[in-house]
Amino acid sequence: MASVGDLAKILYWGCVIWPLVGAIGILSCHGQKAKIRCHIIVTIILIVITLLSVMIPNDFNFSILWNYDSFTGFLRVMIALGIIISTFLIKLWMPNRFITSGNEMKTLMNLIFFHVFVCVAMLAVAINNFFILLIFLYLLIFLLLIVCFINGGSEKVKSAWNYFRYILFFMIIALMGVFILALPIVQSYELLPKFGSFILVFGIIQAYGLFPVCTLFYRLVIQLPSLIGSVVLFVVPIVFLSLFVKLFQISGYQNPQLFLIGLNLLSFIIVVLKEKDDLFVLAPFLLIILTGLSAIFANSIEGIYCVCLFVIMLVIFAPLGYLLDKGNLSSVFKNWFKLALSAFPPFGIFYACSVLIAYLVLQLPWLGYSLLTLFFIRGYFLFRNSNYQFFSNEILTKEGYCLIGLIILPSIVLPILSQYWIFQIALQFVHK
Amino acid sequence: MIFAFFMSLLLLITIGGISHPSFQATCHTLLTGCCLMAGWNNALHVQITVLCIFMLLIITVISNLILRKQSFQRSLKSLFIGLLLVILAISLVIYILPPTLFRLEYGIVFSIILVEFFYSILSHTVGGQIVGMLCTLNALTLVIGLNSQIFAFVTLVILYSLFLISSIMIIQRLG
Repeated sequence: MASVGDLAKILYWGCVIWPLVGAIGILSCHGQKAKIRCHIIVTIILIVITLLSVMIPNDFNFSILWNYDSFTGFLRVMIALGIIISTFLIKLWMPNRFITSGNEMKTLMNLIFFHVFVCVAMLAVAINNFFILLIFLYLLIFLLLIVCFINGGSEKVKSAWNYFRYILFFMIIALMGVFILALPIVQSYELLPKFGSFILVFGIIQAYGLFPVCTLFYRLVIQLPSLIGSVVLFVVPIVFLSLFVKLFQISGYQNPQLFLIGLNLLSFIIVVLKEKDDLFVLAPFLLIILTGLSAIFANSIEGIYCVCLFVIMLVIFAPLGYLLDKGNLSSVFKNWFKLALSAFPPFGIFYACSVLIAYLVLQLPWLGYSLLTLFFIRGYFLFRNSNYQFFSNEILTKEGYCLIGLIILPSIVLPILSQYWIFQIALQFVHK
Repeated sequence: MIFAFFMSLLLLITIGGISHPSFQATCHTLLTGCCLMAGWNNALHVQITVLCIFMLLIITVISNLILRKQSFQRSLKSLFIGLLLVILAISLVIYILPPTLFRLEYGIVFSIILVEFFYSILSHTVGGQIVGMLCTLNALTLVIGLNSQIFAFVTLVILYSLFLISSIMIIQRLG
């Protein structure tokens, strides 16, 4: 019933609705009442997405394999732009008198490391070879270890060392998967490509440092200085995203969709259960959902479009949001700016959950509908436990106007500016 | 036949923990080199096999220097888990891989990777952790040395060197 095209359409609608849902997410940051409002609107959006995706005729179903490599070039340019913008913003944000006292020296070192990190990530994205990409990825984690050494504390060093070993192990597992896929007899035997692809994807997902390694991963991120923490949370995922998109170039690779869906569901349930915690704690789960989604959809034109948008948002907004949320210099900034930048986690969580549920309704209807029902029941209990007014005056403040600007930027301005460009590049990848 | 013999010996060394890291690292690395020499005839690129053997010799020396003063202990429980993992990995690989391949050898490589990783997690001392990951890398060397291209070899060398540098740093810090 559902083809890749259908899924792509869902993703496309998810892309369009993402900023809207993100704005709701921002409002949900302030307390229980807003959560109820957010909950109800998100449920309605889910239903709308599902209906729309079913109603669109099946006419833009491009597939399957691409080989041309200007996508990586595009990503590289995007990240380079991201570096320039973030450098500019950080320069604005830094105090003018940059005296070499101990603490500020450390900040300066971290700043330099931040840029080295982003450059290595950029190289990893630009390279079109699995092995070299792994080298850059490993170098990234090695730099992380060095940063932990500079910033001292044996606890910090210990957790970085653990993380380093985990990554090494799962990289080796992924390499084994590649070697199995490269065997000359792989096509003539049914189980072999499935096994190889599964091992490959499993290795990558785990090396990403997420479920069930996520607790360790998160303990590490919390202990890091905020600049580097933001890199781990938001720049390393870009490398993994591009890795997933490139996997389809390996001959004999079969995407283990069921495994990815299962993993996504698991992280999604954790996100819903733990939503009272700090939103940044949820970021790893959110990222695994997004990576899983991009892995599922990587083969179609909307998938590529979505990945592009995601990367733009990630590179430009996310690290700064993380920084400003943790840093003690946030009073230097205007309020709305902080609000905008720290909005990334709710953005992604609701985006991911809407796409995931719509996908499930198409793929496994009983599961999707029961999940939606659970959402409704939960909403009912949330609603009953508090008396609540739907639209309050807080929307019409100055921050509210900035919020509207924020919605317009990614949903209208960015797509219009980059539409032609992204579409041309995406056409190179998708084999008609 | 000789290849299978060396592989089984390698597995034995892997499971049975000799409680001195530098000794185990030496044994494991040298035996991996022996396996590579025994599997010479089946290698895809002989040059890469030779390079791998040379690299293993250098790594033996370096790891000996790094792990000189370290020690670690293995409990009966961890040995039992290791044995269980070996059985699981080998039976899984033999079920999945077709009979035309060297199934047992692949199974042994997989089980070495798994077992050493779990030893590395369970170990409380830095020496044990380093030896665990070193043996995992050795198992990867076995695969890359026998059937791979130049890029994979370069990756392997960089993985090894970054790992060794970081373990030197860790030993200096955490001792």
